[in-house]
Amino acid sequence: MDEKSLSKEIVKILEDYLRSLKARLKGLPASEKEEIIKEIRADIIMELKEKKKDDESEIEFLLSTLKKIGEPEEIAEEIISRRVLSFKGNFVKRFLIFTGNSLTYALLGLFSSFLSFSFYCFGFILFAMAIVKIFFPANAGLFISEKGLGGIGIFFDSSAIGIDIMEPRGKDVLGLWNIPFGIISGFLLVTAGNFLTLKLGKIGKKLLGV
Amino acid sequence: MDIEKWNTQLRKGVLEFCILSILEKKESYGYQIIQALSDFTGIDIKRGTIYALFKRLEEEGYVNYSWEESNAGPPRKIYSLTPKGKETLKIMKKHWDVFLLSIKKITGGEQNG
Repeated sequence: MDEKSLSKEIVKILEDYLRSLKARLKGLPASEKEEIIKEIRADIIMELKEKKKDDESEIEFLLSTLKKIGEPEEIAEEIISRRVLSFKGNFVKRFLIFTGNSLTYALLGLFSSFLSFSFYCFGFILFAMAIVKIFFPANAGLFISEKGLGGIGIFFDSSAIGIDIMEPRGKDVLGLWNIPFGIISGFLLVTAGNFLTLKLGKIGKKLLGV
Repeated sequence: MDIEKWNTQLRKGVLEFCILSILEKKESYGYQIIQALSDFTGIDIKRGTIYALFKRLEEEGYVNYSWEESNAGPPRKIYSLTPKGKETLKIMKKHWDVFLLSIKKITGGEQNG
């Protein structure tokens, strides 16, 4: 019974199970994950071949075998907890793999949320600027003085939302063009924030082999 | 005291000893070892435990493995005992005998005088 000769349904159940197991083998080196999955797959196929009773359908047998093996969460947890204790007693390696992983996760998470938060904030300010421009044309926009960039955002006497670079802020240079500028650049910043978070997540996953 | 837990712990303690003993008789696939363990000990030890244990025994040099091509399916991982594994098993057996003797003395002390 080659895997090829198994029915599509059987292969699907088996591969779903293995995929789910692999996804839960977090923190193990990628090569080790591959090997564990390869071994378990071969073992299950062999069991299917050798132990199925004639009156039992393949699917029934597969399901009962998988049940015996255990839920992916359970078996992965067991493998991981055992492996933590057994990385050849090499404290440094263990530390790097497990503590390192969670630390990298945490730092990467913090960094990406900080980054996307700043992008979102700034994007929001540009949106708001475009809208305020409609009602208070003198108080919103992109201000440039003789010395350079004075500020971007919304500026009233008592308060400001935006980036206030220097006094005097100078004159608003874009006029009503601030409206499309604010909307488009705001949209771009939010999109960039999303993109970066996604990319960082992927880089993190790749880095950690999960 | 949870008697079931105690029973499981007791069996888990000799898992390595059992695996090496099974491999001493003949090289085996993972699932054959698992089968033999559940047949002999009458207790279903979690598969995850066993696969992790194989990996550890292999890393520590007690067992070897190779991927055996099969025309009936994907390549299968077959385990065998290394010389270090054989040596260790001998020592384990000695300890085991001493251990059994001591336990017998303790539990059956009064009858034996």
